[in-house]
Amino acid sequence: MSDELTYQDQTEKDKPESRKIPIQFIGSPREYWKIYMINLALTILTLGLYRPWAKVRQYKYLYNHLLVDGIPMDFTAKPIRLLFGQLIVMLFFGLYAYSQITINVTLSVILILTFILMLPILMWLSYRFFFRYTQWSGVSMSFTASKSEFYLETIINSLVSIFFITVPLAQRRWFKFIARNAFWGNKQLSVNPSLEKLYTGLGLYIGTIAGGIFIFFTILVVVMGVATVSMPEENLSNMSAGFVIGFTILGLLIYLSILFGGMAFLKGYTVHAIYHGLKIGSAKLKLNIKPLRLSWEYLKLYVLTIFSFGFAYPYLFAKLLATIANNAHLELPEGESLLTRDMATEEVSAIGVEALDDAGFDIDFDIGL
Amino acid sequence: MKFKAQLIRTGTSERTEVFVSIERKVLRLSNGDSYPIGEVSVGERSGVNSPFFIFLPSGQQLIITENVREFADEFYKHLPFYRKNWLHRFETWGKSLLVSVLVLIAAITFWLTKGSDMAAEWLANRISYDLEYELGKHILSGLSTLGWTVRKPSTSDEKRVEELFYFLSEQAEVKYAHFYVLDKPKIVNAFAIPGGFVVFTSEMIDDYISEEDGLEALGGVAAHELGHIKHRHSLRILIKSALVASIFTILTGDVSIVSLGMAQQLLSLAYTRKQEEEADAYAITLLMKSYLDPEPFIELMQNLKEKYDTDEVPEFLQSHPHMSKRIKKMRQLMEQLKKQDFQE
Repeated sequence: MSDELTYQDQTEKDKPESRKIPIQFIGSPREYWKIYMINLALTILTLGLYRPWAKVRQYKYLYNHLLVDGIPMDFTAKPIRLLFGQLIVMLFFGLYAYSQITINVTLSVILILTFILMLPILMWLSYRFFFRYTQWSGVSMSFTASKSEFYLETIINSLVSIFFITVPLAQRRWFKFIARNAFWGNKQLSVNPSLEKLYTGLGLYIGTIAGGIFIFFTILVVVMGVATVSMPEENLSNMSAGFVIGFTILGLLIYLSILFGGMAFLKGYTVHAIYHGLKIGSAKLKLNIKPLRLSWEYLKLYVLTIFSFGFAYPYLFAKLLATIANNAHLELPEGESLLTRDMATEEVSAIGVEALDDAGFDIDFDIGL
Repeated sequence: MKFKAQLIRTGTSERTEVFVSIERKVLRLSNGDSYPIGEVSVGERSGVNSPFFIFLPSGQQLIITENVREFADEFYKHLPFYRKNWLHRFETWGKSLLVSVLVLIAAITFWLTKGSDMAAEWLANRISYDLEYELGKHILSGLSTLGWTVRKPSTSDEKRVEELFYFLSEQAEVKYAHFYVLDKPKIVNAFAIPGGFVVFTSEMIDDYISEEDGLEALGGVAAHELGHIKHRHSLRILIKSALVASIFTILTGDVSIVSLGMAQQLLSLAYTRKQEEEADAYAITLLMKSYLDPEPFIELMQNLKEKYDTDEVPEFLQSHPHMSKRIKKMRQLMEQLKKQDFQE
């Protein structure tokens, strides 16, 4: 299976010794949670004005506590840039809210269509933003794909992923495209996600959902059958409200477990496929954690986030990051170095990040995570 | 004390290990370089053990990852108070979490109970009647897209109610007042939209006009809706729902809640208990000022109470006060006004 030694790994064993570059997360999930709560309180007190500063401080915590070769990563975006982006996005959504109040269907449709058509551009801006303001060892990253290239790739990918079965192909194409256009200084990134892992993740996702639904309906049929046999007909029609509520809650829990179980498999295998083998120049990222274990970590993140009404999310996310980082390292072939030159790049607008964040999808520190 | 640091060369990832010490407000590096503390800038720090990023005037970066707490104590000692990274200090203070959680709970509670009402009232009073009228016009035309047919009164009964409505609106001295009828079978209701638009369902008019004193009773309903207009209740509700939704937006980062909240409010237009009582009091006062008897209106409310049994849900669970409580208050006010009138 995917966790066993592949032919490629075997041939790499024959290569000359390579240098291991450690990666570690030195932060504490508890401290991150505390900082998150403090910044949330400040955001509420300032009626949202402080939100960009809060965001930057949270990113800073995660970046600054992630050490590669003993050197912390850095998030260098200025909060004021995020505030500007947020104000523009709020104007757009304010206009949408106005169209909703006045039940102006034409304006609502125009705004939704504009947003959909702008989506690839907003995603492009988001990628550019997060790469531009990610720095390690004094050198920033950059995302060099042009607007039109990105737009075209989004359309091609949407077409490729129309069929459920071709989604892994689209995923692989997409992440190859992103990496091909990403640089750390003058060192290019590259990935070659394993199709086997992507399909395994999808298969487990479908399997979990289908199996879960089958189990759910089997239980339902059995319970209803037992109730019909053991209860007189008049009692059956007057089934108590408690029974109905209890059964609904049980059904909801089973539904959520199935859904999150499936999603965790999909995420765990996808993340493993992307990150294991990601190259920065000639340095190769190795994950010493199996996709199944990663899926389990994601399951914990999803389930506990829901049951804590989102309040445990910062703690759980930092814990997940620590698990991944502390089980990863870079391998640098003998004679190669991590030396790179900073390529001067222009400042990037935060409109994309803010728009996607406000619309409910994040492209940020957890790109892929 | 000497601290181990990484010195990053400008423009490359090349780094060398150096030792740093602070002497008389000067940062001294083991490679012989020195920089006055006032001339270097420090990256924002988040977390007790957060690494120290120092940007030197030469363009180089100095990164300290070991013994950062000790270095921070030493470094900030030499800085003026305004450069002491107060936010970081607050975050790392032992009681900051407790203080933040308490502040968070207090702020949300205040905002949801009093703050949003106060802010909505303040904002509504700053919106011109002309702008409110324009907003109301859009809402009214938008109702048709929901399948609600709003029209001008057409039958003789509807026109009689309309006439009484305009008579009362003149007495109420509201800037904008418009009367419309909504064809919604089996729904007995009337509501006010921002901008002075009052809508009666045709079922409401048909049900009560033929009753004894039915026209006066419907006049009372019109006076009640004029009360909502006078106090700009519907506008305040829209603003309040937007404000409350924005709190959730801040908490969740999802702007779509704002528009969802507004659309829902628009459809339900649930006034608060206080607003309903204000409109009731306004209706009684307006009717008596216009030499109309409030009794048929109170009877209509009594009739609605019996028909829909609105007292069944405990008061604390409804936005509207108990109908019996409202009726009692209206009668009290009526008696009080009659007494005043008699004395005068």
